Amino acid sequence: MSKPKKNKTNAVLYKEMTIDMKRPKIMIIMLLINMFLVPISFCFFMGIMISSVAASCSYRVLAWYLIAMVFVEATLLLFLTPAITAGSISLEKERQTLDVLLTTRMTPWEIIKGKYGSDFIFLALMVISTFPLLALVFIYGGISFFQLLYIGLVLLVFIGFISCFGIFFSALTKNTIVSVILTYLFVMIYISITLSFPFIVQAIIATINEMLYEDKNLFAWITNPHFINGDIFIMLGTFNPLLMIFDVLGNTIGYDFGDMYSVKGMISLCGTDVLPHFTQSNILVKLWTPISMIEMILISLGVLKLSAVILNPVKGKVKEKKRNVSIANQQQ
Amino acid sequence: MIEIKHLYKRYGRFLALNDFSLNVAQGELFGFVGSNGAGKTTTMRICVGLLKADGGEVLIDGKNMLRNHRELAEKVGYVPDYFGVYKSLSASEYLHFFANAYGIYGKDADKLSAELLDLVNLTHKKDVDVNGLSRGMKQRLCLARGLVHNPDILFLDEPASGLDPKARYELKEILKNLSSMGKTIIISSHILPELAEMCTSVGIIDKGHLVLQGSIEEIHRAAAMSSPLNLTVNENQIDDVFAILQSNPFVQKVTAQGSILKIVFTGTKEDEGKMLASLVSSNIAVNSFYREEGSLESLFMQIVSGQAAAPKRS
Ligand SMILES: Nc1ncnc2c1ncn2[C@@H]1O[C@H](COP(=O)(O)OP(=O)(O)OP(=O)(O)O)[C@@H](O)[C@H]1O
Ligand SMILES: [Mg+2]
Repeated sequence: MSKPKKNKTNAVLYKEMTIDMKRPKIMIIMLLINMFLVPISFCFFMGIMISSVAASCSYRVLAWYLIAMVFVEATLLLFLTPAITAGSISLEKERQTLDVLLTTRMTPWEIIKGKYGSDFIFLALMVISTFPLLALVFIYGGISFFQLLYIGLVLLVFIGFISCFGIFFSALTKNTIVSVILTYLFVMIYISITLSFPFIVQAIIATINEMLYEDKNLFAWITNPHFINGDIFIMLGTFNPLLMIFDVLGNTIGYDFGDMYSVKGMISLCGTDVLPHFTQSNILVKLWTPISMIEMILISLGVLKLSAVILNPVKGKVKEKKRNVSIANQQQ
Repeated sequence: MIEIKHLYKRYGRFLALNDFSLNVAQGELFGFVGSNGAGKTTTMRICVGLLKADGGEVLIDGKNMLRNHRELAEKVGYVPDYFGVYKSLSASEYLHFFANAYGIYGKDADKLSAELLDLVNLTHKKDVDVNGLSRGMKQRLCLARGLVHNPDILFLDEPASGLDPKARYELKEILKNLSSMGKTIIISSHILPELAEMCTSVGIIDKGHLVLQGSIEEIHRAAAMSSPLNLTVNENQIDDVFAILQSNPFVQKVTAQGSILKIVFTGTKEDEGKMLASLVSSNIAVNSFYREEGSLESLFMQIVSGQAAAPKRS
C-alpha cells in the first residue's frame, strides 16, 4: 500500500464537494436566494420602463437598484450563513464521526479547513448565482465589470467572516441547535456593538473635550489642536461587516450623490463637527473597505485556528509524572 | 508493542481508571475483559489519543502517543463501540473517504475499498447507503474502516456485540487471519470465554484496575485452580475433617452441603495429594475426591466480585 507523506487533497473537503454537493440542498438554497432577489429586480425594471425616466435619472435609479439588491442579499446571507455553517462540526459530533476522523492522520486544523472550505464554497456558489441579477445594471452602464467584481469579493469576505463563527460555535458545542442559536446571537451582538462602538467612543471624547472647555463656546475644541483627538477611533467601524458593504457600494456608485452613500460621504456630510481632524480625503477613510477586508480575513483565520484548538481532544502540554503521584495519594 | 503505564482518569469525582498498567507484546491477539463500566472504552480512547489521561502515559513502539499523535495514527487503527457513519454515503464511498483521510487517493483508494469490502464479506452491499445496512454489517464495515491504513495495531471495542453466531465466527476468522499477518490486536469484551477461544492472552480489568493478566494457558490454569475441590465423607466424620482442613495452609474456604464438602484450594496437585493422604491417615473414609471442571465464567465472576483477591474462611 502506498502511503504518500503529505495529504494531497483534504479528505473532508473532497467528500463534501463530490458527494454532498450532489444532494438537492444546494439547488434549493440557490433557488431560495434568487427567489427573493428576482421580484426586486423585476419591480425596478418594470418601474423604469413604465415611467420611462429620463436617461440622466436612470443612473440614479440603477444605483438604488444595486444598493437594494446587495443589501437584501447581504441580509439573506447573514441569516443563511449561520444556519449552514453552525451545524458542520456539531453534526459530526452527533453522528460520532468526528472521533473517528480525529484518529485518522487528519489534524483538527485540516478537519476545520475541510469543513470551512466546503461551507464557504457552497455559500460562494450562492453569491455567484445572484451575479446575473446584479449584472443587469450593465444595461445602463455607469458601473464597470471590475467594480461589480469588487462588490462580489467584498460579499465573499463577508460570508467568510460570518461562516467562521458558525464553525467556531459548532466546534465548541455538542448540539447543533445550541450552536445555531449561539452563532445568531453572537453575530447580531457583534454587528450592533461594532456599529455603535466607534460613535460611543467619539461621543465620550467629545464630552471630555467639552468639559475641559466649559467656559468657552461649545465648539471651541474643534479647532483647537490641543484637545484630545479621538478621530482615529472611527476606524473601529471597519470591524463591522455591514459598514464594509455600505462603503464599497458608496465607493463604486455613490459619486453621483456627492459621496453620500459611503463612510467617507457620511463623514463629509457631518462636516467638521463630528470628526474635526478627519476629512473625507483622509487616506484611512479612503481605504475603509480594504482595511475592513483585511481585518475580517485575519479575524476569520484566528477564529478558525481557535476552533482547531478546541477540536483537539488532547490539547495542552502532556503532563509529567508528578500529577499521577498526587492522584495516587488522594486515592489512599 | 504497547506499554500503558499507570493511567489515571477521572470523570468529575469518579475515578474511572485507577493506576492502570498493561503491556501488550507485538503480534498478540489480546483480549481485554471487564464488566460494564470497568473502564475498557476509557482505556482504549486514551490509547488512540481521543482522550487525555489525568496521569500516566501510553507508549506505542516506545513513543508517547500524545506527543507523536500524527505519526502513530498511521500505525494504530481504532474501531469504537459505536458506528460513526455518515448518511448518504454508500459503503464503498465510506471506505473511500477514510482512505482519503489517510492520504490514499484515486484508483488506490478504489482498489483498497474493494479489497476491504471483500475481507468483511460486504461486497454485495457496496453500493448500499450505509444507513441501510444492518447492525452487524455496519460493525463489519467499521472494522474495514479501521483497516484502511493497514495499521500494525488495532483496537477493537466490543466488535462482537450485535453479531449473530455466524458473523461472530467469521469475525473470529478475520481476526485470526489479521493476527497471523503479524498485527497486534486488542479486543474488548464482556465475555471471557468468548475471547478465550481466539486470544493469545487476556487481561481482566475491574473498577479501572488490571486485576489479572496472562497468556491464555495461564488463564485456563487459573480457572482450573479457581474451581473448588469436592470431597465426600461420612457425615459423622465431618467435624474431624473440618479440623484437619483448617490446619492446611492451602485451604481458603470450606462449605458443606450434607456430606459433600467444597474446598477452595490454592495449592498445587502435589499439595492436593498430601491433603488427601493426611485425611486418609487420620482414618477418614473418603468416598470421593475430585476437582470440578474449571470454568472461565466462574473465574471471571470470582475475580470481578473480588473473591480471589481477598480469600476468607468460613
Ligand atoms: N464522558 C464521561 N463522563 C462521565 N463518566 C464517564 C464518561 N465516560 C465514562 N464514564 C464512566 O467511566 C466508567 C468507565 O467507562 P467505560 O466506558 O470506560 O466502561 P466500559 O468498560 O467500556 O463499559 P462497557 O462495557 O459498558 O462499554 C463508567 O463508570 C462510566 O460511567
Ligand atoms: Mg465500553
